[in-house]
Amino acid sequence: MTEVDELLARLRKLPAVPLDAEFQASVRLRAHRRLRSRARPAPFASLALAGTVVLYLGWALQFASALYH
Amino acid sequence: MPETSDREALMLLARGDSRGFDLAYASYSERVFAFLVRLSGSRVLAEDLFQHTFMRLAEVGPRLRLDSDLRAWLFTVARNAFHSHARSRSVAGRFDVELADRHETVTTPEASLTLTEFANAFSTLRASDRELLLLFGAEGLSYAEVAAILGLDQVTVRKRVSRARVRLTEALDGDTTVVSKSGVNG
Repeated sequence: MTEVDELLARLRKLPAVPLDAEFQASVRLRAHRRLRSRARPAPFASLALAGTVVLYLGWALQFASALYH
Repeated sequence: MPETSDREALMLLARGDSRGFDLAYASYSERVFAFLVRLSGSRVLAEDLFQHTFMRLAEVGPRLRLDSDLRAWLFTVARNAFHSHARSRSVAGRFDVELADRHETVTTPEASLTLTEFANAFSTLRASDRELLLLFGAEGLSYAEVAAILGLDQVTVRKRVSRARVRLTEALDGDTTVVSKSGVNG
């Protein structure tokens, strides 16, 4: 068992594989952009949806109240 | 068990704060990249898969649960990306990178040679053995964590790690008759 554990210890000693600085910067930049684009919902789309819902509910209310007059 | 910095990273990510990404990146980028280079045997391919892994974090990170194990999640995405690429391209057995090309920590030529021999023997293993030994051996993950990443039960992982160790020992002894360079699952 000692011998095989030594194998795992040697695996842990394998040297680090350095990342290219330029490549890292590009990955982080793209990831930040994607994160920002996902974090902020498109304001126009949200407002348009909310407006449509309000208009529909208003119309439905008016229609329902007209039925009882 | 997820680390405290994982929770902090996930909380920031949930708010769409890029500092959460940076925190996760600082903790795991080197380890994920080393895992991918040693698993794929190609620095170029590893860079593609690494990019994919961290872009997935930017995409899915804000929706991850705060108690998620970020390390396990990243290694799962990374190994799935490798396997899906390997399935489409059949690259699992090819190595175009010298796995022991950096010797900053090695002081003597003898030690350097031993390290190179070890890395070469490791590169002759099949991808399924390499990933087990990298996760369990190099990363120091528990059987349970490896099982979760690979989607297997712990008993199977124990057996496979044991077999992979034997094959690595045989590869180091130069007994190449049992070492296969075939595909990912072969």
